[in-house]
Amino acid sequence: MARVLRTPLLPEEGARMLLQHLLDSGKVEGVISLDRVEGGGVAYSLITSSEKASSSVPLYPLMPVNLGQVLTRFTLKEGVTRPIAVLARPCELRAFLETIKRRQGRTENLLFISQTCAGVFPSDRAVDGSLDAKLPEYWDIIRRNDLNSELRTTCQSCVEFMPYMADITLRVVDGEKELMIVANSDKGEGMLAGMPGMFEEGGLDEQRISALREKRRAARSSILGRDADIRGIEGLVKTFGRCIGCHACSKACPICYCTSCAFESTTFERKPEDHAGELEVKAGVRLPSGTVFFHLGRMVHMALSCVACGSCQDVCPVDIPVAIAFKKVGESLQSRFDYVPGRDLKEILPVSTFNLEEFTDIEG
Amino acid sequence: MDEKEHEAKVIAFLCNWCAYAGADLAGVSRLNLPPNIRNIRVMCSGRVNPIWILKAFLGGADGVLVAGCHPRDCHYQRGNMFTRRRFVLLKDMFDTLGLEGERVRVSWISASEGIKYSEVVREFTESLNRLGPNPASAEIFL
Repeated sequence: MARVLRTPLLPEEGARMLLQHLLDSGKVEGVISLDRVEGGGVAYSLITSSEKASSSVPLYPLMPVNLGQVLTRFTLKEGVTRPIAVLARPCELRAFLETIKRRQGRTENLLFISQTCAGVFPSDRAVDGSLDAKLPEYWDIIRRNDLNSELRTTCQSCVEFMPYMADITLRVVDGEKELMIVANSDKGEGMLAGMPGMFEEGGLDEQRISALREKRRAARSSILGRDADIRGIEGLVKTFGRCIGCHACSKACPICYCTSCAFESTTFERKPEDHAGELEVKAGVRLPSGTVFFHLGRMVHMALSCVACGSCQDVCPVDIPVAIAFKKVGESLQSRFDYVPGRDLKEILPVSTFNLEEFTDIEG
Repeated sequence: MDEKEHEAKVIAFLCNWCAYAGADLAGVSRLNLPPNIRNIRVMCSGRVNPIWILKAFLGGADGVLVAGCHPRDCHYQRGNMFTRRRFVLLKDMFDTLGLEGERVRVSWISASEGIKYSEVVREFTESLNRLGPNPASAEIFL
């Protein structure tokens, strides 16, 4: 049993109060959370004053960028030296931990606050300013423990909506009218001490969570079946054929950390004559060549760690269901190694370890 | 393409210490080898980036072979063990994508196994001939 704090406030207000409490009490010197920006959008910000935190929107259902990527870059050169709390969605936290396994980030002095996650809207909803009007309905659907068909398809089909390595979990999808905050560690409990509200023994509402997981699982099968035909060369060309080669999917990906990606370099550029051999057997070549190659190359490098956050699809200018394609492949690979990306920092990446007596049937 | 029977083209990545020496032995032993295999020597099978395999495959190779030292016999102690895990990943990805996983193969061939090398490449090319041309070899919009 964990300690649970029953706050007197609605979820968004309660989360904001938690951030302010942490800053006011001096338990942390900064918080990283979503803040509003002019023009209808939100952005992650490092906030150090409680007054500024009072206008933050910690649970706003948008993911302008996967916070895992932000944290990786934030801690790439040096760990955080003073205590900072970060409010990350489960897939953001998991993505961050996956990059740490690749020695790209550090957890020192970070307090992880996460949530049972209801999902986010595609980012284009922020641009047209229509999102605020949708918020009451968004929270209403959460209270009914139902699916929201306007969210990112990866969110609608997400069954990994519970955080794994958070110190503190905000009960959102399994919440009550007032926000309940679960302390998962002694560190987390110490951070909550002194907040308004009542402490009790408890945890998450497993019943509501498994009911929602079943609904999401059903949505998952239908979305995975419907959204990305990636069967065979024909399917791959159908799905990725309209790619304009902007590589925004890889830029937005929290796992794709390489600052000098092979696909951004001239490594795979070809001289005109290099096409000659290929043109002996086919009627033509696409220019620039290597569209499917880029996507499969990226897939073979990162799908094992794909947390299915949907950021790649969110930024695709030609609406390719990138995230669903990667989710399909990623889930299959991950289950092959019984691996859940970001579940535990101590778990080694499956391609960085081995057992002598395994997969002996792979040889052909 | 003319109508004569399809002869599968194979790109083979062979490790310097075992598989390449095995292939060499097959050659000097005058064993019968399929002509359409292109051997590329690498220092270790573990050095083969899966991207190279994808590039060969999408470039139209009918099959890609990676061969290295037997388990426990790697010149670098454990490079081939990482190859094996990577192949599990690659095969699974090929299967999920419906890309005929049998077009990629990994084999352990020691320096003394000239005969095994000749058998592996012969069986592989025969199975690829039965499978027919790689669909990627005719696709323009890759």
